[in-house]
Amino acid sequence: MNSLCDAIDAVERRRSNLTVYTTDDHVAGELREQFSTVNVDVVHNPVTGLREPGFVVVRGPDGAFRGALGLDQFGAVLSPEIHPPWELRDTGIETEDLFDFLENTLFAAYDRRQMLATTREIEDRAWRVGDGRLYTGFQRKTPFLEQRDVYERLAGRGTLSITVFIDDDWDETVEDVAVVSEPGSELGDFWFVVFDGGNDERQCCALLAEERSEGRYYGFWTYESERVIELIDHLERTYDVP
Amino acid sequence: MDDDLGPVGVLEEADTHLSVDELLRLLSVPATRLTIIYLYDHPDTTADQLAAIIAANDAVSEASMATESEYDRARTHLYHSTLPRLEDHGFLEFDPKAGTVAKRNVPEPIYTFLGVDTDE
Repeated sequence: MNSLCDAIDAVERRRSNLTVYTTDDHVAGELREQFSTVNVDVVHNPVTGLREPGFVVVRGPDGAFRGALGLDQFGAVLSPEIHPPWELRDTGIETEDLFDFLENTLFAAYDRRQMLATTREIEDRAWRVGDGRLYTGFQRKTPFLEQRDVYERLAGRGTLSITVFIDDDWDETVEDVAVVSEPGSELGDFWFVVFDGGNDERQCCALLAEERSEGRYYGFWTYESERVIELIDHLERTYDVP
Repeated sequence: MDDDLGPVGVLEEADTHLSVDELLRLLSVPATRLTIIYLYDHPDTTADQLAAIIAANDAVSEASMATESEYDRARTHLYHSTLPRLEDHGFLEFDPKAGTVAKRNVPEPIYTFLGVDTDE
C-alpha cells in the first residue's frame, strides 16, 4: 500500500456476493437497491416451495460461504440503512458473525453528516478504550480547529496518543495533539479516522473516504486489524508522525 | 420447514420401492426435504449450494445466524448421509468428487406432500 487511494482500491476489489432466496421479487429488488452503492453483488434466487420470507446467504470474494440468516433478521439489522458495524453491536443479534461478512463495507456518496456520525463512533471507541493510537485526517485546518476541544479532551484521556493530519500549513499548538501538515499531499482529499485499539485488537477500527466531489465521500469502514494496521503503517511511513 | 407434515395419504401414490413409513422417515430430516425442494427448480446444483441453503434454513428456524461451522456441518452431513441415501432411492445423482448433484426421479406426490406447487 503506497497511498490512501490504494487502500480504497484494495477493498473495492473484494466484492462479496449476497444471494437472496425468496419468491418475493420486491424484497430482492429492495436489497439490490440497498447494496447498490457498496461492493456486494446481490443475486435473486427464487425457490419454489421454500418457506417464506426466505433467507440470505453471503459469500466472500473467493466464493466461500461466509454466513446466512433469515430475511426477517437481516432486514431488522440493516434497516433503514446500512449501519457501521459498531452500531450493529448493540442490536442483540449475533453481531460478531454479522461483522464478519459486512467487514470492509464500501460505501459511496456519504455526505459530511454521515461521515461525522461514523467518525464520532470511532472517536467514542478510542475514548472508551483510553489507550492506543488515534490518527485523524481532517483534510484542512478549519474542520480540525472546529473539533479542537474534542481532540484536546481525547488527548487527555488515559494514554491515548493523538495525531491529526491536514493539508494546510500549520503554526498553532493544540495541547497534547501532534499535527502533521503536508500541503499539496493526498491529505487534502481523504477523510480518515484510524484507531489501533490500544492493546485490544478487537477494538481496532477505521474509516477512510475520498472526497470525490464537494462534500461527497467514497470509501469504507473496517474493523479488520490487518487493514487498520496497514493504514497506520502507511501514515507512519509516509508522514512525519512523532 | 413446516412441522405440519400434511396429508400423509398422498405418499401412497408415490411410485417408489419405499413404503409410506419409510418415506416419512426419510422426509422427517429437514436436510432431505430441502434438498428435494431445491432440486425442483434447480435440477443441476452442487453439494456446496445445498449446504448453504440447509445452514440458512436452520438459522431461520433458530432465529440465529449460520456461520461457517454450521455450513461445514451441513456439508459433511450431505456428503455422508443425505445425498448418498437419496441417490440410493433414485431421487438424484451425486458425484462426490465433483460435488455435483442432479435431480433424477422424484415422484410428483412427494412434491405435493412437501408443499411444492408444481402447477406454477
